[in-house]
Amino acid sequence: MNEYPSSKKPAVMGAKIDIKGPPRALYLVIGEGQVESAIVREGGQVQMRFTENKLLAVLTYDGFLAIKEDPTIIRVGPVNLDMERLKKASQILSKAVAPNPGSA
Amino acid sequence: MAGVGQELLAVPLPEMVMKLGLGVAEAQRALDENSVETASILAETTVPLVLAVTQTIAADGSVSFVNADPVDVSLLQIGLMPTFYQFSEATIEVTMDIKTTSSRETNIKVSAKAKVGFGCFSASVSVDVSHNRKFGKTVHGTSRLVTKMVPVPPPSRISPELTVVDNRPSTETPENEE
Repeated sequence: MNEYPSSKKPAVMGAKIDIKGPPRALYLVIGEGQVESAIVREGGQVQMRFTENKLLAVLTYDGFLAIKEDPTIIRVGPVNLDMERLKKASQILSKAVAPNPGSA
Repeated sequence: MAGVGQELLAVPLPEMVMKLGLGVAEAQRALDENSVETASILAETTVPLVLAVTQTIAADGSVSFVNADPVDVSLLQIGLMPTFYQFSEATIEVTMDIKTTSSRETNIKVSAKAKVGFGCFSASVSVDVSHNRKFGKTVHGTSRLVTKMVPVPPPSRISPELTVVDNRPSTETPENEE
């Protein structure tokens, strides 16, 4: 359970906002520069690096909220891997790029 | 003085429900927009994939491997999808603790005077009665809004189906190939 960190309005109204999120999830993280240090600082793990400022990371929900507030982070959004689609795409693309039988 | 029932009637429940509904709709739109923007980034981000490796066993028994040319595929194509969330439940709880008190206070002040003089007698009695009625009301109210979101499958048409039309001339297929 996390107290919502960004808005001051609830505090003014005497309200309390709690958000309960998933324990760990996969996120696409895009930053202005190198973003890995911010992820590691929040206890996350980099799973796949596309560019220096764009990567996939596993984060806790606390980590996600913290990174979301980080001024160097442009975007962080939850993603998931559709295994069925991955399997289907792999099969189709494998057929498309496979050399002709016997030609190798 | 308003009774407890009147206090309960004064709770702006319809307004709260309306604002909660509007809040949920606005949040849902923001969530969808965020997921769509993530989908757009996933569609624009490509990774080179080597999807085929050819193993060749030469006549002398030596084995070599040749990778097929890597193919740039988008993250969306290979199944990395933005997580879509949907509000599945919204609850409003209003708790009111109303305490009303009423007290009546009566003050009676009696004063008597008597005077005896030469051949005359006078006496007076004055009574001063005052009533005070005091009303007290204490209202404590708390409201609790609970919303529940669940991940839902992405729209089925979020990414185009990949179809391969292979116009290469057909060759003999080895028996052991699937």
